[in-house]
Amino acid sequence: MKQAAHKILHMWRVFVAIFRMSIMMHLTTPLGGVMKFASVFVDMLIYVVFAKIIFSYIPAVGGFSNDQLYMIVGTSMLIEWISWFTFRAGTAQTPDKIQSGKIESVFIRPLPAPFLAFFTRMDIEDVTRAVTGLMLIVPHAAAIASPTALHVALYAIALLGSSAIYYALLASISPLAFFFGKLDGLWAVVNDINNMGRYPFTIFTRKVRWIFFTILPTAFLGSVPTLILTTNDHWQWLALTFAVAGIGIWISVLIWNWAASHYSGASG
Amino acid sequence: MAIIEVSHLNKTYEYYKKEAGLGAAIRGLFRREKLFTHAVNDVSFAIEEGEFVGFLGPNGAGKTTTLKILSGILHPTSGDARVMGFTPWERRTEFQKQFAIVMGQKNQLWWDLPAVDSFMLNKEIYEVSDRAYKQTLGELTDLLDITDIIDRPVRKLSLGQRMKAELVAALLHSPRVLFLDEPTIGLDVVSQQKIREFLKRYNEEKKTTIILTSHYMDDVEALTRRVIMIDHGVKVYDGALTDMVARYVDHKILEVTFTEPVLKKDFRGCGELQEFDSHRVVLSVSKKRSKEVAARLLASFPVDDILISEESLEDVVRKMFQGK
Repeated sequence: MKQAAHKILHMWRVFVAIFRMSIMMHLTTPLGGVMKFASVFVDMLIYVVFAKIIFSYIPAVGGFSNDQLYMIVGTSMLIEWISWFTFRAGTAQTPDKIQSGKIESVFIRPLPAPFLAFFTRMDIEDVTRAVTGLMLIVPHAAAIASPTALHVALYAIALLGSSAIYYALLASISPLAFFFGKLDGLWAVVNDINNMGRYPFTIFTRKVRWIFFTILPTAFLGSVPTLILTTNDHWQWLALTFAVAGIGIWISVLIWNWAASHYSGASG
Repeated sequence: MAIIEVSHLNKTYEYYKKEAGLGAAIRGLFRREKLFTHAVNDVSFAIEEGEFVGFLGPNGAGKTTTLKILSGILHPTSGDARVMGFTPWERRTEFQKQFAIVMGQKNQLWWDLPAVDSFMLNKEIYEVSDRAYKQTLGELTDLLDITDIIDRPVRKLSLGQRMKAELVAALLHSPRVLFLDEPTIGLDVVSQQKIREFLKRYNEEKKTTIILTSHYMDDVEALTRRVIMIDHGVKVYDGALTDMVARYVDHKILEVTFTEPVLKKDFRGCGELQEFDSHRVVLSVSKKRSKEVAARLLASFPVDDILISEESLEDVVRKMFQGK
């Protein structure tokens, strides 16, 4: 227990150090940072405008009210922000690192290799996603009924759990590059999964829903946290979120260990 | 007790034969010929704590693969290795905290940031205390003479300065074992010399066990007393550098300059003529005959100067690998 706590604290310190360096990296080319910031903002703005238009015609879908639909979209943006702020860039870069041999540095350092491989760059400009997401969530949450402090706290925890699920998914896909190279096509699927998280899972049939709660857990990227914020079934949804996150991370570690043991060098 | 023990280590890479052309690529989808490369073939050796060992071999000999296995980057196909009592490819944290690997062709420093920021990151990764960090950083930057450049972005540093900074980053946690893979590659003569001096002193003072691979024989001559030579994955020599030279150097080089022009044909029977112009010759003569040939040259030609030297280590190694 003490060892596990020490390890988590160690990883946190390294995470903070990498975060500091990411900020410094952005500050070396401030104009580039402004450009990235602006492009994410425009991307979000376009999406929100379309969402507003589309959802204005839909009073309710599959048991989710119009306000909840907006909150699902906002929630998926928040999770996307957390992912870009932590592991998304690292998981996307992993295939290149494997092909160039740069991945080798993660095998020799005294920290879990997936952590060093995936938490390597924090995209600060993606804070725009969080701002846009909150702009959608706050007014619509207030329109339903003011959520209690417990609802908000559990929602915040659920966001971390959902991000962990998303991490587990990407961290399970990335090591496949040890065998298959670039994985370009798979990243398009990942983006689709992310986009599908912006729709309530109840619009799908039961069989498809099962997939969205397990193999492609898009239900946790928007709908489930929204239910935690807006309903009183929050404990069971939260428990499910962390159960899926735990299993997902465990599977991702198994996949990494298995794939990494087959690494034969960039020039091998 | 040996700090590094390698026993019957093997690493075989599998790959598929790929022929040129679209047709061959399509055929390859259905029928592929599997090929094998034995990068490391039944290699065994042991290294004592504090030793500085040169690991030599031509390109593709298996040097880097061996170092990667010993540092836990690669899993061997078979055989065993222990470094500080650990099996490297199990990648235990206690093991990883006690060794470092520097590859001359790969860098770990953040390109756009000052080197000191990468040092800070390594401090956190290796959990170096503030006090130890300050002291070690001060010592290393002093020894390598880079105190005034660690605040500059890495991309602004020269290759030599960058390699020195790489060494600092690798040594901040005071490893017991250091693997160096071509640390002087591409550097100018002055930078090579500085890095050699640093490594020699570091090994003497800290008693760090170092394995060095290099294509520069000057590195090997200046730094190591023991060399392990590997060719096509097979260990071909393991012993003292001086013994190797004594065993394989069977010729001397005679460089003679003349006051008057001489003819090529007159040097028949004087050994192998390596270079010739009318006023200068370079001859390779067997050790046994070198005195006799030198005396004959002095007696028969208008000699201005004569220089007798050993074959260079580079030539010895080349001969060994060419099987001559």
